[in-house]
Amino acid sequence: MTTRRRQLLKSTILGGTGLGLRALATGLPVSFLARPLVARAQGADESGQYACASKPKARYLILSTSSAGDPLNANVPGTYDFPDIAHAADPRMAPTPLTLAGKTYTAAQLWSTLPPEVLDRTVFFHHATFTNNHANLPKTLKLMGQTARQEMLPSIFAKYLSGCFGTVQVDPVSAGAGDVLSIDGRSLPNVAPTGLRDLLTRPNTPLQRLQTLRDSALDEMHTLLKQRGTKAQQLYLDSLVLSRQQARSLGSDLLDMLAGIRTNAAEGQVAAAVALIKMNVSSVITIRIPFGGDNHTDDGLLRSEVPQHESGIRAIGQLMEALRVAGLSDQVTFAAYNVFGRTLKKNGTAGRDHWGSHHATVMIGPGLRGGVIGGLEPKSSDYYATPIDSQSGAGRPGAGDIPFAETLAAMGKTLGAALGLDRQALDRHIAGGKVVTAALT
Amino acid sequence: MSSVRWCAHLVAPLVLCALAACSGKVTAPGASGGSGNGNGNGNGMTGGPPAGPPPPPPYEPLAPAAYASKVKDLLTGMPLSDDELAAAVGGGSEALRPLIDGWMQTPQFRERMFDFWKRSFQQTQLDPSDLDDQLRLGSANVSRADQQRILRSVEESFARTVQALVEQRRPFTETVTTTRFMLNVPLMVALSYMDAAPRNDTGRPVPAGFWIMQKFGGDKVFQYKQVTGLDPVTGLVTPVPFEQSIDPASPNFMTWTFAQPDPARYPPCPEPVAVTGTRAIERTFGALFGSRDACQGAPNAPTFFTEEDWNTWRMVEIRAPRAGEERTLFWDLPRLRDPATTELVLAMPRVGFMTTLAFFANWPTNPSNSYRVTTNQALIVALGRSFDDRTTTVQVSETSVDAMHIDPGSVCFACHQLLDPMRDFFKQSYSLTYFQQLDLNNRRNPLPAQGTFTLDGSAPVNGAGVPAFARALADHPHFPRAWAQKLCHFANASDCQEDDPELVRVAEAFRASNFDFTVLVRELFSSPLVTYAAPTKTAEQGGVTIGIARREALCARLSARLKLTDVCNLDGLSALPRNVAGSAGNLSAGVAGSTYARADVQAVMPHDPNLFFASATEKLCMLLAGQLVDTATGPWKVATRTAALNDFVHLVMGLPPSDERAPLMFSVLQKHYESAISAKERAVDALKSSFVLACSSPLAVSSGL
Repeated sequence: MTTRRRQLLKSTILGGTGLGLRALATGLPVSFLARPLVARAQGADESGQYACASKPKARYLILSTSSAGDPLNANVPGTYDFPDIAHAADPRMAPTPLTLAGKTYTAAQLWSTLPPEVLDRTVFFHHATFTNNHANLPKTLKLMGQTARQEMLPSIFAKYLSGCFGTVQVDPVSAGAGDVLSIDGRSLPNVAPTGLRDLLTRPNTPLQRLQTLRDSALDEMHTLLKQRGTKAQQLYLDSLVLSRQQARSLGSDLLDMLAGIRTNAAEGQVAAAVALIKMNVSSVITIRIPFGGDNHTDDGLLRSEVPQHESGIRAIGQLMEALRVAGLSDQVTFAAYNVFGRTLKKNGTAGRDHWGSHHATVMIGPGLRGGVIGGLEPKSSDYYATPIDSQSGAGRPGAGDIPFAETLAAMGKTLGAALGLDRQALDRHIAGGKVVTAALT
Repeated sequence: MSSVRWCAHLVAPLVLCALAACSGKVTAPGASGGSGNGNGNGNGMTGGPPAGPPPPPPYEPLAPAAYASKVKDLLTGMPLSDDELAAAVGGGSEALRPLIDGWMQTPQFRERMFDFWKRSFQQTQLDPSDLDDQLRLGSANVSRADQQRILRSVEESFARTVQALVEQRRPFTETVTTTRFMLNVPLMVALSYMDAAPRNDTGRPVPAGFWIMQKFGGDKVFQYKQVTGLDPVTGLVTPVPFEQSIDPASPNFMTWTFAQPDPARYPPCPEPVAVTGTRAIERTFGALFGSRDACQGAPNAPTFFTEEDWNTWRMVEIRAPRAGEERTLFWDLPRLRDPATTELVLAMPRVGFMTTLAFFANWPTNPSNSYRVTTNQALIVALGRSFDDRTTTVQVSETSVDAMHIDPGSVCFACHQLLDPMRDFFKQSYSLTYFQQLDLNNRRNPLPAQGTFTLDGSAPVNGAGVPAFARALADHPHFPRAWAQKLCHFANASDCQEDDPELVRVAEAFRASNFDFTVLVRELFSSPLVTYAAPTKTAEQGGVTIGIARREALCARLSARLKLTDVCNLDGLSALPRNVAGSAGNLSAGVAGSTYARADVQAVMPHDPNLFFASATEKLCMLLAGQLVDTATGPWKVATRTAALNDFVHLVMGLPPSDERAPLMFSVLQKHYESAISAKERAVDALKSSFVLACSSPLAVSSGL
């Protein structure tokens, strides 16, 4: 057996491709190593559980999320319909007509600065997150216990969408949102945008030229180590080979997109997210666009909320423009949802406290019809998200076929539908809630 | 939907419950049956991916070469020697004990533990701006360099304290209760300043507590002055000597020399620039670091802190003043520099890890949170426990009804019943901005007479202030197991089962040794929990973890083996050229590291490789090849290629010559070198590539092979 293996190793090395050697070393099929992008996607779907429902309808997702609980909910359409909801006394937060897909609402002036073609595919989805705890962002990403097997919503989406796009890896990538993601119980690291730039770009140097030869040598090392390793060690070695193959499969021409990244702030994250999608690394990228942070003591709401809304909405605009330039406008959906919203009335303009009973997720993308889903109602000294009528999307206090308790799940399902997941899959993975068809094109 | 568990009661202003906690359940890592590993469901759904992994295969123990190498690397970053391998092979995991004792004597072990303590006591992950609530150096326009230096000091101080306690063989529980801290002069100044310039819950100064101001005449009299010292006739500047600036008997007391701002940008300030009241104390503190911004736009003067001030550390007791005793003057640098000064007399208590500048900077609280985060993070560090509802599926469906919040039947009640009396210990000692608590007679928000600590059913401990809380934490029976668990996580990047008899044994040995940290290290790292030399409940349930060397481990390994200080520039101390150090830092960021997060009982420690890890390790190795191979100072030359390749195997890949894999790996490296030459590359590049190959090989970037 050993002799045959060595002979095979020798012949494949001489053959020059190294794929046979790699396959032998890793136990992974040659087809996988030859076409890692396609094969990876197939590998993710061996069970058929995550079959791509419709490639034409599938969208990548760039998700902004944060454990700070930014006041993203505080100045969106719907919040200007109640006179006792506090807004900063600043022209940038002044009530301003906002036209979404032909219908006019009232929102902060800053939201109206987005281009009309972006607003026409922008949905403001009112719902609750049912937690007031910063540390519960992972749990919120699991829709507060509503997802099957406690999987995170971005990871569920990634599993399905990777099959549609043949992405380099199934796992979602955090390019600035922090160490919050997990998939199948595995923690996923955050990679800073400037770090991505430095580690993925490929200068033309002798060491770079020798990479192929090194890969062959690495394959040989893998073989030798696997022969002497335990099952656990062998599995780990396979994962190392896979990681290297994924790194190698990135197109050199696209790596230049990362070269211009200069900051790890929202601007750099936006650039990194677009580049990672263009490079087809993953179908889901998470970032963090600040909208005011944990602003308990934000006097007048002027220190954090107003300036960060301005920079946040500007970052969204930059993202949309970057997607347009990259030719990705019709392939990528953006969403922003955080661990919780913030109080709308309680402290006036002296600052906002944590608030699990109302949040507004912002979704922008090709499968979405601009508008407002759900609404608010005064309750218990502040404002709650209302139940929702799943057909019209209207908020229905005391009524609505999506009760208050299922609004978070409904948001998750609606976002999933906008990304191209089919209803059966969504029902399989998310308990409760309904797809709000009014939000979809 | 019927399977979803809902709050049985309306739940209250969890705006108050900013920290956590609505299950009333205290969570711990590695609890049997816990969720969060992808196996739990909790909502009764049946439609997910196919259930259940296949039955586990028979247990395969790791070979001595693998586990001995793993343990030595974890503790020192260094490769195994032939003798050590022989001892491990001949004596099994028992033979590890004396080896571990030897490894604990190395400077590399001190460095590894130093890093472990910084993280496990949550003294890192800070930015200079995080200190501004306490020290306001950024607000005072103190130079970025001094802000960085104080930050580094703040982050290192407690790890140095732990190191000293461990080396003195003090019980490890003293990390919770100690009032002695390793401090340098700027930190002594900073702590004394905070004692002299207290702030209330909203961050405003409390003039009555500004004892120095009161001592020197009160807010109308005590004055800070800036003068240029410019002689209008000669044009010469005569600076005020520092000794006179701090001498109450001198006419120049509290007078500091400054230069007028750039006239093109700012109008000149009338002389002298005078500041009175509490601001005068703040200006004085800033002046020690060179700040002169009492005059807008004035350039900073040189800092008064010397290299020796920053680099000289000693154990200092922080104690309350006795009756009639004066407290420590923060500006008295001569006294603070005196090695005979071994105590600071401060009214503001400092007890254990949870009252350091770093800990407070990490976990700011606010009126809504009201010390809950401080308390919970202290529980996490000391006892590995957290009031945390993340593993439940209970939803907070209603909020903001106070009456419901204190309803004994409500879902939030249980945790607040336990957590809120605990946070009172902090409230008794500190304002919400972490200065001395001086709001003693607030009728609307009175200080509770006592706090109460109880956890996991322990007998309630009542007392007042942080010292009482610290004692209760240190005496809690879970302390030894919590620290065994932390080291387990450090070793495997995964939890040990809380009820694993082997973990219980290790923890008991630690307790029985009167909390000797070296005993804990010896017992745990020679245990099958880490070596996987024999089955344990942890391995049976969680599998054998073979993983990547995470950022801190990989960089420590490279630093130790390549003899390059802070090779990844994680601490800003790299000796590599500045641009190379910067690149190394950025590249190492692509390797998953160990971070702690709010309410996380254990640090986040990914251990699986991904494409970013593969790229980052290779790029880092390429960067180092350029510094180490065939350069003027690098150890490896083409002329001594064979020796270099041997070093690559033994040092970089960590295989001792007697390891059966060593000659095989040497052969692969040699073949690669020859292939590169055949490909018409220069010999130096061929050797560099061989280094990169070794450096990015599985053995060099992993733990447990």
